[in-house]
Amino acid sequence: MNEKSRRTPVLGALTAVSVVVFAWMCFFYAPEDAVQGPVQRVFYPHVGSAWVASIAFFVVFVVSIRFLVTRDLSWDAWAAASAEIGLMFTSATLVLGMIWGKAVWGVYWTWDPRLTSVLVLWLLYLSYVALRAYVVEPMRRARYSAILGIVAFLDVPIIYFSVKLWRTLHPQPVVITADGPQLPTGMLITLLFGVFTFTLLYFYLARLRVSVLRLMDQERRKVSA
Amino acid sequence: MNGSMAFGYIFTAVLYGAYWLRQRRRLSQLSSRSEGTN
Repeated sequence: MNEKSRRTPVLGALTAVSVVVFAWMCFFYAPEDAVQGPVQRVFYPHVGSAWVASIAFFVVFVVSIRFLVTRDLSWDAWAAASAEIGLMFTSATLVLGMIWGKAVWGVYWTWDPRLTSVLVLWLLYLSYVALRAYVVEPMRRARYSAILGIVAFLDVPIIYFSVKLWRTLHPQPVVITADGPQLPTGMLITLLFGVFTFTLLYFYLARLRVSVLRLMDQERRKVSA
Repeated sequence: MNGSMAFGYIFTAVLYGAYWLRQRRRLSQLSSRSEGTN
């Protein structure tokens, strides 16, 4: 067993423990919001998922550039894995946000700049995954998807700054502000622990998916040899 | 417990859990096939 194979179960165990602790914190440790009530608790996995989606798409952006420079398909495996996982985390971000929106705004969806730019991101990476499914030849698939992965990432800073650039219903940032975090301590610790947990979950799932993609590639090469 | 909040947590857990299980199963299948052919 090599060093990388030994690290994956450790990362998996650490992720599992963190997920259990995070769930406990969400329900029992974080104080209930006096105005919004229990539905405010979807905020923790919503922000954690959005954070990890940003990391995943940043990884797609970086490894896509590396692939175009080196033409090494191992970078393409990381791009494919990160894009899939980022798409999944963006789906959860949207659903959790809609649940919160219905409770607080009275509607599941509104064409607000933040919501719309996240939906555009979701569609971009859905098209990325669809593109990979349609192009069979590995080098061509890697090249096309690398270009799309780089272009699609441009939406991430637009999402981040959308609440500052345009009038929006979406809440303003509450952690990174000029006056410091604007949350009670229990909520802030739960939020930060959630971000940590979801980051671990991303790296664990990405490694797992990359291993699957590499084995699939080996199998394909054996068949075509 | 609020029903919408519970749905949000269950949806997230099922989504991430299903992806994890699917990848674990595929890794196990591919590893055993790869060992069988080596």
